[in-house]
Amino acid sequence: MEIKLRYYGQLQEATGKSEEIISKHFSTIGQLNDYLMKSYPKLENHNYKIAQNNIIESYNNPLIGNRIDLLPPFSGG
Amino acid sequence: MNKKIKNIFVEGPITPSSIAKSIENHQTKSMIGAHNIFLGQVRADIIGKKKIIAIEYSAQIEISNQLCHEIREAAFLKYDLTCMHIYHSIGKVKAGEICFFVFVSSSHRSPVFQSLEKIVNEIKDRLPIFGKEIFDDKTYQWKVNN
Repeated sequence: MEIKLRYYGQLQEATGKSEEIISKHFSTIGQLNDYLMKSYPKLENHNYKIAQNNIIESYNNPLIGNRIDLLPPFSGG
Repeated sequence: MNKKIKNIFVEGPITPSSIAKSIENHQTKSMIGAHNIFLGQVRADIIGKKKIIAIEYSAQIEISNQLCHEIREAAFLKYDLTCMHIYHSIGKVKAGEICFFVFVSSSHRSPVFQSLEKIVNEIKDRLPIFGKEIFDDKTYQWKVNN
């Protein structure tokens, strides 16, 4: 399955990119995250939330969407 | 009550004239008896020997607008508000300029006093907006909300 990943804020520095498309299968959001942590070891130094098709999800949730966003700590206002 | 999701984002600073215009627009709404306004302004913090000269905001726009819509609808259900306007900057805002504007109105003062702080705090806590603090020597750090 094709997944479009977007990285926000300081996570663009940790991954060296703002977005990418990967073709892989993962059962859960957590499995995708394990893969990303291996691909980009610097992610380990960051806190972030993962959104799937514009909804922030927990790591146990199944991966069914094709748009994933990695969101660092929020600092609006 | 299935209202359209509004876009809260404004490119660059929120100008004092646009805020004045927003106040003026309410003069025809004669059932309103009380307004309350929050304005967030970029602060020129000094960290070590460096001074913050601007914040550059980015956001996951779709999620931010959706969550703001939920915050707005929940506030209308909970408080007796006539109207509510929420704007947040995207892109660069210099120190001293306005980056965040929340404007609530009601027939009486109590609902606007009670609701405004909660709405402002929820927006700061829940919306995926990211601030990059630019220093006067062109280095930067990522903003952290307390």
